[in-house]
Amino acid sequence: MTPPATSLSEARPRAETRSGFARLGAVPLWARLITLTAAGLISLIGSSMFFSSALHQTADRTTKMKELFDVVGTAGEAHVTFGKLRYWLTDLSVSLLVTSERSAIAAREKLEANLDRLAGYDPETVTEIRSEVEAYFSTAMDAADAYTDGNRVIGNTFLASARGHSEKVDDALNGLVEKVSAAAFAERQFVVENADQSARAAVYIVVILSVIGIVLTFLVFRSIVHPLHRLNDAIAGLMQGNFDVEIPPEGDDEFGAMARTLRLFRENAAERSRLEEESERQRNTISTAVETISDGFVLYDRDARVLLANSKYREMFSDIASVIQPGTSFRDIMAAQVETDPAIAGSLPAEQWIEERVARHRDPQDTVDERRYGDLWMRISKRQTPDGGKVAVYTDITEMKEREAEIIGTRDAAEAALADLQKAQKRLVQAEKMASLGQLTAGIAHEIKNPLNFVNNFAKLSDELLEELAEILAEPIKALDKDSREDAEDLLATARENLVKINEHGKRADSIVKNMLLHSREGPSERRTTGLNAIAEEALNLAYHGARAEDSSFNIEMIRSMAEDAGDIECYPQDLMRVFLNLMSNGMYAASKRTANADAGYAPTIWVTTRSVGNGVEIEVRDNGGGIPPDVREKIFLPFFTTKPAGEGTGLGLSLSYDIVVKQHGGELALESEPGEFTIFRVKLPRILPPMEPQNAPSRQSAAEGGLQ
Amino acid sequence: MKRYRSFGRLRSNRRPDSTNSRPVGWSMYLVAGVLGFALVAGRAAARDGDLDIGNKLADMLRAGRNVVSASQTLINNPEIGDKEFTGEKLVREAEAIYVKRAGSAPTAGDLSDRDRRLLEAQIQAMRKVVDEHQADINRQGVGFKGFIPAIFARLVNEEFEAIAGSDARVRVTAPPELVRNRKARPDPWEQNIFETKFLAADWPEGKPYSELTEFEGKPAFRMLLPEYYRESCLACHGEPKGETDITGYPKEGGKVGDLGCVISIVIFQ
Repeated sequence: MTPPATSLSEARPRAETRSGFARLGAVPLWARLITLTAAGLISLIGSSMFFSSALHQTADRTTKMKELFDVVGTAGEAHVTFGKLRYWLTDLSVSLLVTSERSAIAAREKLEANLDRLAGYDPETVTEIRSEVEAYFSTAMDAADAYTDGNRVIGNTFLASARGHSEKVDDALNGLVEKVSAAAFAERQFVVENADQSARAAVYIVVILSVIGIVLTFLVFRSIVHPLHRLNDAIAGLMQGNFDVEIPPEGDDEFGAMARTLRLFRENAAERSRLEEESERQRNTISTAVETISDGFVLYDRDARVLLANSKYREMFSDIASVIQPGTSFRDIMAAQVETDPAIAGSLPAEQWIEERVARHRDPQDTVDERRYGDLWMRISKRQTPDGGKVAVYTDITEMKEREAEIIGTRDAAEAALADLQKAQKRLVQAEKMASLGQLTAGIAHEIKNPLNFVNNFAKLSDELLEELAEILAEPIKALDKDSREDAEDLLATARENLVKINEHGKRADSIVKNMLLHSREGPSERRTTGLNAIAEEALNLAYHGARAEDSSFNIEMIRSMAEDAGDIECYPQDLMRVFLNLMSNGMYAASKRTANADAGYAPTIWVTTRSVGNGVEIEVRDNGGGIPPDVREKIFLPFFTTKPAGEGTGLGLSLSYDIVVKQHGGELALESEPGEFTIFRVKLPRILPPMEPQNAPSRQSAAEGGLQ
Repeated sequence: MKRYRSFGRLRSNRRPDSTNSRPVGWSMYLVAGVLGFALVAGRAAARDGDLDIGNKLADMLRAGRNVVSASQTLINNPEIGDKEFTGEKLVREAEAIYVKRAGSAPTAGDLSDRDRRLLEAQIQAMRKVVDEHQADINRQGVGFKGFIPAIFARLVNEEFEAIAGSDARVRVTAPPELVRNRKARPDPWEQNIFETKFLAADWPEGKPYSELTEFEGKPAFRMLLPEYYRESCLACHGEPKGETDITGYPKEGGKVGDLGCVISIVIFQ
């Protein structure tokens, strides 16, 4: 790049020294082009006129030449026709045939026509020929007539005379042909030479005009192209931002005017460039400031389109960094975010979430939101700018949020632990109450058992005594009158019936007391071989009566399906009884619970099924209660877990059952449930108990304590 | 060369071989003669004798032509030398044809001296023409010899004129456009009859014309008998017009039924 002062000072003198082009340069462009076109047109018209005149001249002479050759042709034809005429007239004299005469007449007519055409060229010769032809024809016809009339001698005389005329005609025609031929060939020679001359002249003219045209075109072309090139270079330089580029001198023609315009443009462009640089500097300063902020920064215009965003913001939302460009709308950014991470919309449909965010953005009030983006938490502060745009600042508050969550988590855990402890305490109290109740029940039952034995035994004895009495009194009674006898017999029967009832109910009371004792017995139960079906049957009865005892309106359909081959198993019958009782009581409870708010068609039912399975047995307890939801199923075997209201359950039943089945008997306890349909507890037991350490055979207490740990 | 056989016959098969010697023909000519009388009313009475000899001469000429026509194959045979086609033979055969057509010989019955002389002159001319041309007729190695019915008729008529030219003339002529030999060109009287009678649209076909008039400055009975083209004529005179026939002459382009020629007879009074 040359310094402007040097280039300008060089350009001006150069323009002055090129005097030839300077003169041409003073003429306007249109005048130069018109002159060039006019010169072309003039030479075109001039040469055309020359060629046209030469062509006309040649054409005239050619026409004349053609006419002469036509005359030659006609003369030749006349000669030939005369030959025919001679032939037919001679033939006529010999043959006397009319056809020869007709041919002769036709030949003569044709000859006359030829002579008519030749008359224009050489009338004198033609007149002479005509008279000779006439003389010949008439003499020859005279000869033919003489022959026809049989006058051979006269015919010969006429024919000899005709021969003289014929030769004259022949000579004259020959001479005419030669004369015309010579003239025609001379004319042709002239035409050929003339055409050659014209062609040569045409070549010279074309060459001269072409040279002049090329020189003129070159001069005009150069006077246009040269300045045009310099202007083009200058414009190209300016376009590239080179304001020191050389601008051609400002002459008087159109190029001078363009150069002037270009110089003004250069001055304006230089000023604008300076202003742009200043503006750019300011923009850079602001940009640097925005970039240095530790938070994400975005400036939106009044149409919610990004004007400016710092790299921290792009870093925060690196997944959609490519979208964050000046001009992108807030809506598009939200759409990109929700597309990249649909979770941020929460439960809302994506479109609705975007609408809410856009509406929030439009809120003219200053807003502060905390939002989660994947693993990050952001605080988004938005303020409206005076021109209706928005400034958004994104602060990463993830760490703060994490700490907050940790504190809350710790607090919740402590609260939960406290609640658990309180619950456990309540249950322990309840369990203790139940244990005391058990002991009390055992004591009462034991005390009741002895008097009950008396009642039973004396009732039985009284029955036997009444029987003996009846035998003894049989005769005396027969002696009594009818009424007395009937009364006596009736009294005896009624007394015996009463005794039977006493005995019956006494046995029932004894059974209940036995069960009470069984249920409240402490210490390890004894290991025995017992029928599974019997245990299950007894447990079902106990569960039913127990439920009836608590709620007299309770009723349930019990469907038993006891397999005969279930047979005996080695087990701890009392503990197993406790397990079955527990499962069946739970089933009845669930079914009765459902009855309370079920429709009319619902019939609470419990199914108890036993079967032999391989080396063991299986008992299935199924109810059609409300079922067990999955989250409850997970925790159901945990100690102190219960869904029953406080006071109704200890939360130990299933836990204990689990321990008894799995740990004490080496069996399996499985649960299957469909909420709203059914629940099945399935107990699998081996027929022979696995060998076990004595201390591992748990008591109810130890199982409960184990559950607590 | 059968095509020449019927040259000069009345045209068409409707009147096969009809000749003037038939009784019907005779009566027709009688009517024609009366008509002819009517046409020349006041000048001279038509004579039955003139009409009669005219017809006889014409019929005999036709018979001779027929013989020449029928003998063309023989005459034009290049293999045979002496063909024994003599004047005597021709006359004999011609008379036989005449008798067959007319019922009696031309010279039979009552004839005037002049008529007998004329018929005998014609027969003599026929004999002489054939005999004079024996060398040509018997020439070996040449096919077509040009001794055709038309030439024969012309030569016979010329010989007839030489023998009896002071009493009568017989010619065969035709309208000028049909004439081939200049010697057969019609004279002005004949030309006039062609134009006003024979070529008129209402002239009955085949009807002869006769008139008492002058010929070569002497009173004469003139008679014209038109003859029409038959199929066999057209080989030389038919179409296409201008094509050359066997004699080398261009055909006239005639059709069956067109006027072909006219036998012209002059009987000096």
